[in-house]
Amino acid sequence: MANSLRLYLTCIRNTLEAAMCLQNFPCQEVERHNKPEVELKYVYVSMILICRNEAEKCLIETSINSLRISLKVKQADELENILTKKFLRFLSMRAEAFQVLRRKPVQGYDLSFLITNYHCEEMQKHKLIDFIVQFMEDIDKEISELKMSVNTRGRLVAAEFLKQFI
Amino acid sequence: MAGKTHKILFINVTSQKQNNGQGNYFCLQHKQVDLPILQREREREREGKGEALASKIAKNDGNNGLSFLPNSTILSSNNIQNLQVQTFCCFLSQSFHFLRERERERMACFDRASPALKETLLKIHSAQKPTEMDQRLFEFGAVEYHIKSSSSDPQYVYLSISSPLLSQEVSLAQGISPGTVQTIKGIRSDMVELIEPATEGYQLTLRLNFYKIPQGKESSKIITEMASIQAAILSCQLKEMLGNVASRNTSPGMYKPIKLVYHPREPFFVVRQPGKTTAVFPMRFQEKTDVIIATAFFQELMDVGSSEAWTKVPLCAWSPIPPPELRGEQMEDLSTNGGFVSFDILPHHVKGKRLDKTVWNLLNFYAFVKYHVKCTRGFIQRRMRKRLDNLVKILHTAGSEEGGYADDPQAQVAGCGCISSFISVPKPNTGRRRCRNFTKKIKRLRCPIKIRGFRRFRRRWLTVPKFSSPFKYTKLD
Repeated sequence: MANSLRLYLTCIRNTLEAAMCLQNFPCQEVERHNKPEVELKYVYVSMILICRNEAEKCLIETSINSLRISLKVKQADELENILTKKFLRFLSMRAEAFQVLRRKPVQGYDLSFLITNYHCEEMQKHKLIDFIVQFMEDIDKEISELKMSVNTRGRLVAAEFLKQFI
Repeated sequence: MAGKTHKILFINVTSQKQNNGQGNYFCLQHKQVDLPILQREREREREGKGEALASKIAKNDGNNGLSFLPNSTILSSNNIQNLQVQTFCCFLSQSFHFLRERERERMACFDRASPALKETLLKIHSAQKPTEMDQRLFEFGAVEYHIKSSSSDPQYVYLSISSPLLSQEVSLAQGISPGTVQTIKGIRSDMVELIEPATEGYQLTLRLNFYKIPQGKESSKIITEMASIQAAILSCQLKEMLGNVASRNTSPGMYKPIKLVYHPREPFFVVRQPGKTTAVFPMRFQEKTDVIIATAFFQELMDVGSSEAWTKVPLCAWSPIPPPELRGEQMEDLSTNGGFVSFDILPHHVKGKRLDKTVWNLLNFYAFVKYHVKCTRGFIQRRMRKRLDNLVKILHTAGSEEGGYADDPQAQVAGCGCISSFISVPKPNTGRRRCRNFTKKIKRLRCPIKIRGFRRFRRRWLTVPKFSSPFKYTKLD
């Protein structure tokens, strides 16, 4: 792993460990309702922005009963751009399979997680953090592999096309 | 180490337990082994049902290009313990996919015979009784066929073809060029006869003598040739243009680009220059994703074409702006989003049998690119689904397994970097689970002596009561 990536992920991990102290908090507006406070616009939430570079950053928004993590993935060229968009949109549309994934990313970011106090009760906190950090690594790796596969595939097809002239 | 050539894949399978340096080798020919077959065999071998893949292939194929060194083994997860080999298996499966799809792409785009026409002619030929038929077939590219056969004259079948001419410079009134007519007459002259004048509304009418077609495998080949007549008509015009390159009768200086239309709304240009002919394809796509995938493909096409191993193929170039040869053409023809692809056709590319291949490849370049883009999108989608399945599978497996696999290294699936399990069952549930197991054991106890009515008695008076935890809480909605 590159040094800057390791530092970036370590910083995110430490921040999540500090921020993931969630407890149940009923909605102050509607009786018998329980909503993630971080999603409410009128509630003040504390935000932390961790930037690896101009293209990669992570926004962590915390509240008493919920935590929102938004990621911006690096996109070096047009091909990575469309692959990232396609893949993250694909995952977001199937967010119910991941439980902690948000269906629609926050504006300006590629992917968002929403962790509530219920998730922290059902799952172990340090494992949840491991999952998010590992997820970030896997996304980068998958995008790179996809790009390589597309280029390799194009090369093979080009060779096949040119072979027809011989 | 894994190496790959065009058709043979060589894999070195090593096991962690073997430290004596000996490896297991087996050699695959890609046409013989298909990815789904490989996967099925793996599953069977895992279940212990099937025999070794290697020996099975050897039995089926004999000495047909496959060779196995001693100690060949199956690629299965039971045998493989080396992470490196699993990576090679992923590479192998990807390579099989690429090779299989490559063949599919090649076959789809370079099929000259019209499938509907071929099927109809085969049906007429194989019919036991003479049939009355008057059928019209329409194909992509405004191509129309009219097939007519009568029971009173079963020997002959009349085939009329209407196809838009390749070049816009030749007016429809002139019809098909004499060169094209000569080429058609050369196709199975004993079985195919050109009728003049052609049927009204069609450019060409042919009389096919089915009695002269031999029975057996040869008939399929002959009918395929007959069904490829439309491709021959289209190829002839471009052949005449490219044939002039070889004849060296062109005067020096650049000629005006000739606009040719094979696919509707997708014209391409042929520019005759001294010593070569350049074919320029303006590329247009509907979606931005297609543009980016195609651009990546064109870059690879340029890289491959300019390498030392491919000196015999036409030189390929791509540029986002119109090339200088097309200066002066209409704006609507030069406005593209995919750039311009150019092929330089030299005299040795159009000598002998190569002329036919070159012409057909150029005519089908658009279709090839569009098909490649479509297949790439499908490949990306399949890969994303597989990745999602891997992630979700780990998630569900970790959630359903009792006791959790918090620090168990075996729970981590190596090779693809899958996420390790993160869900573990909270501590109060372990006690509940033990109680449940104990009650199950009690229920399963079988008394050797059977007493009538004891079952009902036991169900009512001897069941273990369920305990509810005082710490359990219910969520408020």
